[in-house]
Amino acid sequence: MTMRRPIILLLLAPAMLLVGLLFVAPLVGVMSLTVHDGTSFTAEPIRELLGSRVALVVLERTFMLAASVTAICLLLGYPAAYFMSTLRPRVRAYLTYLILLPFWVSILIRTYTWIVILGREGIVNTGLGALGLAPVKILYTNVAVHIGMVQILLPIVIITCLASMLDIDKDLMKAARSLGASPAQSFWKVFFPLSVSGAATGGLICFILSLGFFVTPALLGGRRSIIIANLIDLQVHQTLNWGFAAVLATALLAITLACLGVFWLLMRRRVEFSGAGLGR
Amino acid sequence: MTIPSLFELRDGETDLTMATKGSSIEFRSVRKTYGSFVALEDFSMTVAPGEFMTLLGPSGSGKTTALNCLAGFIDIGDGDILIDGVSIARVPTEKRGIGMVFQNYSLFPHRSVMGNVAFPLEMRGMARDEVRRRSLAALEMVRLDGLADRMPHELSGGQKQRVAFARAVVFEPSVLLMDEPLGALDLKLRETLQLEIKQYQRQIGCTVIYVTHDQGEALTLSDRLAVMDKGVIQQLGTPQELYDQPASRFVASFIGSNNILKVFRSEGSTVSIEGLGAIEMTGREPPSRGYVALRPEHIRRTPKGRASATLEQAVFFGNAIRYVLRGTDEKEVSFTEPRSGAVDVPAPGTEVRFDFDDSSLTYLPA
Repeated sequence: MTMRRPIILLLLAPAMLLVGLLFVAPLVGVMSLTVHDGTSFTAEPIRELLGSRVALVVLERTFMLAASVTAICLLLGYPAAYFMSTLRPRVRAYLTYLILLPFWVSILIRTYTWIVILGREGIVNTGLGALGLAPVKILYTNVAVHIGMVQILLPIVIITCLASMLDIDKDLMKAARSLGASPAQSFWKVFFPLSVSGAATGGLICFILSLGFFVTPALLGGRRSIIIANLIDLQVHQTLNWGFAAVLATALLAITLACLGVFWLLMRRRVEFSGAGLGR
Repeated sequence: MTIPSLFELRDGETDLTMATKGSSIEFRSVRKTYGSFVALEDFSMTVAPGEFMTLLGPSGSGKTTALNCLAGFIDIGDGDILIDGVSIARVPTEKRGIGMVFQNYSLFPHRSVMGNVAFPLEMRGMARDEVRRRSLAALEMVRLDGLADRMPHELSGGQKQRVAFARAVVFEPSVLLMDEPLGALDLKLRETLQLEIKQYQRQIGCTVIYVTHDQGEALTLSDRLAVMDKGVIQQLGTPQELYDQPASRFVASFIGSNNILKVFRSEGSTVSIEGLGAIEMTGREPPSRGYVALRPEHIRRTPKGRASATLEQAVFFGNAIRYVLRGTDEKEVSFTEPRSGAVDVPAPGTEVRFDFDDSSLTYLPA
């Protein structure tokens, strides 16, 4: 039996109120700052964004960082998920637990831990010194930012990939073999195409989360690792240029939504048949 | 007379491909265990080229294990399997050249109907034109050439089954394995597809090993069938042999419906049988012990019958009536009576006299 409309609205009201008050209203407020300085309309923040070399460099850097972190996470996460999908359910559940374990530790603490490991007097460099090797500078470089971000995002990619792999009927690989496919062919012609939408979803989540990363680049990166979230923070806390901060935030939001849109267009066909596979 | 290739159906060119011939298959005392569970025990069987052999048994009887050993999905434990006299123990699945139809069809969901049927030909590195031509011919055979561009999820169960069949035979394997291919379909469709499968197999000429737990299906389709239980072949023979001369109580009860009655004792030509009482046998030597099997269609109602029992219920079957009786010893005996002409069906609780030919009794060991 379907519920009557007023009851549905009543049930939705608390959540809608919360989202409206605490999310939509502030968002509209921030976005209005891009064209309104509190007393009158202005095009100054948008002009500042387009004229700012720093902003454009940082935007590009943010994009490149998100892309490379996502690529590394997929390269490491997909094979790990594939391996897990071949295990017995009990062993797999145990490994899943281990993979999710880092989520119980705050991102801040995990990031500080990397300072201890990678720093000048850190575990890596003391180890190298003990072996008579010269210390390497990892901390406060892009390498450290990558290490820190991959460590945080990898579990999400693994779990997303794994979920889609477990939906694949294992008999399909048997069928492929019986039809003349080698193990490698049955992987590339059957398993991979069927798991690619799950991997893409994991990649998208990873990419979008990377675009908004703040703590890890701030703590592990150097000045050349500043990304857009750090730049926004700088505008809000140091230069008090809220209009510029708002226009940067809006640009980030627009880019993220554009990514989602492109992904949706690319995946529409694939989702159709993987959805049908679930209902079998 | 040569067996026509399925591709001749399309364009009548006789030299397009060589006609497919079935291979012989030999299982040599295959034994397969999982921990302490014995899935197959001393499994030996020879299947002639072009023969339709069915492995029939309840779930867990080892029939699917035998099929998976042959397909190469699991290692042959002890023993060996030969195709055309050559051991395949060390040949990987894809090199065995065996077509297989799975219970849940296992169509590739990301490939169209055509893409599915073309898959085995692509794996063999065939030229694109040839792949297309042969795939269409196979689809035409199963009358699905109009649906070549559909995706699997757009097909009905029966259509999926036909695509799976076309995909399994398009590369003209000499052996075709079918694992409960009709298990997920409704009764009417199963009966239609049974006839189709049989017809295609005759066209193609390949050897078929068919796994099912449906005895009716097994009787309809098979040249010979092996009844399996607990990893062992209980009896192997033609459908008629297994129906008429079951060798054990298991086979007698598994194939068709049957009254299986214990033999108590015999003195001279009189034997006491569970459910029937003391029967004076004239036609043949009475059984001394063990069991007898008596098919429901071999019992007839007659006022001068040698046995009698109380009618419990008469069930209407359309073309026949099934009588369920209970003997004085509480044993249930049932029989069927064709409904030709007017039949007076007695009321439940009535004493019914009935009889049978002594030759219709099958003697079974204890």
